[in-house]
Amino acid sequence: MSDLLLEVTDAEFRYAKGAPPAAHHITLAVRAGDSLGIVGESGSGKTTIGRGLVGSLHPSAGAVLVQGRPWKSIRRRDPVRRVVQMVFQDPYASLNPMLSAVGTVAEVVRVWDGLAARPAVARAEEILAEVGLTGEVITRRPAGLSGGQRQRVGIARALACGPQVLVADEPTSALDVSVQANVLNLLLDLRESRGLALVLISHDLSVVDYLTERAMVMYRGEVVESGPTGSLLSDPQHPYTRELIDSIPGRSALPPAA
Amino acid sequence: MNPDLLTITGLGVEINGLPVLSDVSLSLPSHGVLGLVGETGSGKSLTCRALMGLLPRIGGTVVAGSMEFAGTTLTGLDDRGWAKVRGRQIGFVPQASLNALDPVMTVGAQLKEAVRLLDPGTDVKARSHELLDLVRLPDPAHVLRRYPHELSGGMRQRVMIALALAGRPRLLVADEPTTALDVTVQKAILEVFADLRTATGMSLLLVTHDLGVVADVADTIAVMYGGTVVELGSTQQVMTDPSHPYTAALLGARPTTRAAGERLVTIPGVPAVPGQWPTGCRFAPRCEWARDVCRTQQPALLPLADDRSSACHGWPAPHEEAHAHV
Repeated sequence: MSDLLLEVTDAEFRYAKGAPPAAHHITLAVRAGDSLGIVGESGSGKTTIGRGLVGSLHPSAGAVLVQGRPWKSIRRRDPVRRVVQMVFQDPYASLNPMLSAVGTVAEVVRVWDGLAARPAVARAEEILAEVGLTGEVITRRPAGLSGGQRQRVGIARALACGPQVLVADEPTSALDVSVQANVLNLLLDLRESRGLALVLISHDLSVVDYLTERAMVMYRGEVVESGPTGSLLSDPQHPYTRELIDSIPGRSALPPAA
Repeated sequence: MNPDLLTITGLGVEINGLPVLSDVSLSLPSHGVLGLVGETGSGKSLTCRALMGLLPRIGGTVVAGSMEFAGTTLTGLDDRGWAKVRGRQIGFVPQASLNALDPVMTVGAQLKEAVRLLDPGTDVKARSHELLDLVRLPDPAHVLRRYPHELSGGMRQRVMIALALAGRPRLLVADEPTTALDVTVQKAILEVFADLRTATGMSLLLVTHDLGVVADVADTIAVMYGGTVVELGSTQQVMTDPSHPYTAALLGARPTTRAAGERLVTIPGVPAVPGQWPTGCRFAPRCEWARDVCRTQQPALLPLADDRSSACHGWPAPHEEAHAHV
């Protein structure tokens, strides 16, 4: 299957030898254009899986394959590293405070596309425009940007090496609801315009419902339920999934989906 | 209808000469729960600070309006006056209070200190147990011997609420009390608030950026934008039939309101920040319905027909859209 971008087979992740697994019995596949939600609370192991997907944590058992190859076998500058990119929860903590928005993106372009400084900046400006950042704003450092703008820079940086999968870990949790709406719309736009696959890690079921077609629910390091996101929410089978759905604030008072 | 326990009228606050709140008006009946909703920088936490008499610590002063609480005029109280109100009449759960407990004192030592100070003459030990019972912490004796780091986030938040209850306040002000918590824990904390109101008859002022959170527990909602209250009404009204375009946009921005794939409502531009408030309506630069009058005159929070208030010069609310001229 050439369109199989990420494949996880019965993987187990530990942060230290002998430590209890942070996640285990994890099996999933991401194909081109897929959207997968990973839902769970603090400590459920969802971020651990995210780290496994981008190759920053190797499984202690089982396998994580990117385009059919285990992360462990992939060297630093192997072009396969372009395939999967991560968007972090806190763009303030994950962006270099000394680099401007355009500098942040240009650096990635320079390294991966081998462009000289000037063309790299031109390419970075194009990518920033794609996420809705133009003009003077892109010359600012993270401290001079709003939360929503920072997250756009985080997304632009991820886009800069031309990924096929974005792994987004709580991309809107730190944002106000009106700003969140902008970022969610942007992620939808990018999925359509670039045909990007999306792995969305979130504790917020409404965001997962909105952005993904399939989802898995994590509890204490295990997948307790998985399936199409719509039926997971409308007809949950596992008691924990039901509890999560019952905990969504304001369900009763809110108008239903249009 | 209960008489109002708290009435804030036309409150204006400045920090070092910079206006940060203006014309904030809201009221809260006895036994009522008011949700104060707004995004970052809207002025909701500053309103809490004003209500707790904590403005001087950040260089803030009340420059206009009044705050009436149970027959006492809070505006104009001196330090001794505030000391009788703060913690005793009005309890406060501050924002980010998960890290506000003293790390080197046990929960019991902190709770007993608060009881001794705020509720003299009571049996300190019995009252400490009772307070932990009120916030639904199982096995109070065990929890009292623990240090904060030994407790989960949800348990620490319950301890913070117990501390705020030590002086038997008639009003509890909680600033973003569930923001850092998991959804299941958040739900449990919201249930604690609902139970407290039933058990003690106290009123609650719940500050949050999440309309969903207040929808579950509040009777009335005040929506803040740009340092002022733009809409005040029953939870049902505000959530299903907003009377201010900003509220409508906030509701439309929630992912639950749209089918998958459909774009969410977004608000163009950036939020109004103190020092750069536009003349006229603060929301006008971002409002698709703004007319000339909106750009020159700030609309007052005026009562509408159905027992609610809105600060808007007029916009075609969804139910009026059919006969609105655009």
